[in-house]
Amino acid sequence: MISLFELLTLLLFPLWAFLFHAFGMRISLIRKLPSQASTLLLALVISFVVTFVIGYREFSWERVSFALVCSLGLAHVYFHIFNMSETARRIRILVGLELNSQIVESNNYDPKEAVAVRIERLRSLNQISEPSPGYFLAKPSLLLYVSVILQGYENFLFPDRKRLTETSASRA
Amino acid sequence: MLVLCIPLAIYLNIVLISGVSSPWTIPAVVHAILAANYIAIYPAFQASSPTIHILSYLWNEKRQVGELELMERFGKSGLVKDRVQDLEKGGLVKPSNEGTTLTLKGKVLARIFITYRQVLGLPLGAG
Repeated sequence: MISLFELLTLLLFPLWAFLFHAFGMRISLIRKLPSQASTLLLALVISFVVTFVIGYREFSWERVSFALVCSLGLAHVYFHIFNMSETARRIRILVGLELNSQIVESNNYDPKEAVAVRIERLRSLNQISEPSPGYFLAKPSLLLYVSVILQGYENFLFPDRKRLTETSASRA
Repeated sequence: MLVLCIPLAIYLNIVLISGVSSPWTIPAVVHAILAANYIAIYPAFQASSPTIHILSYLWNEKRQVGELELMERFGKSGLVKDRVQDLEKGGLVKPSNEGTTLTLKGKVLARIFITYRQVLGLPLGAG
């Protein structure tokens, strides 16, 4: 059985992650070390340690496994919240309206630029290769497999949606 | 949201009646966390993530694809218009005489993200 204290410690995981992430970002901004992604990863690892040290001092495999699975799930949710603040178009539109009272597309949100940003990000993260300048190929990677699965699920959920990823061969 | 709310409401009722040490607490927590994870990844396919489309397209094409072709295919100006429609449906923005304006719910959400980025000491996202 799980106690109320253990449960609360576990459910506070996103708060630990946020606090350590903010702290880590401050240090990395001052020292220019480490990178944004490694700061987030470090914050999540420290949050795991804090959750276990505070809430799970009495060791039992069942309780620790439960806490580990839940912490991983909560870490994934926190990662998506951060990612949303970083790249989500809807959040950018809301923030643009709040700060400038206008939709960002009209001044600085160029959809082609957004695609260029993503291509550059995929290239720098080694998810796609560039055999010749300006030409790209998919590389086998975890992100690629996840994308293919999510694309298949999107096609299943929204069959009427225009197939953006339809190949040139199937269009011909 | 229904995937999260209906079973969670049932679980919470049982847990509130029988206490935190109830054997139903663990399934309730696991269900809530799994549902939150599903909700977190749902926008990736609901909102047609360009990153996912670019990778899937490159994988399906099995040939070298030029940057211009990718921009032409995925850099449509409707990208933002579609998102504004989503926000309108969600009650976060509303059309007005001055164009599109935020509702109270939209303002609160925008402020949460602005404050979050400020606390992290980061500029607003460039995606």
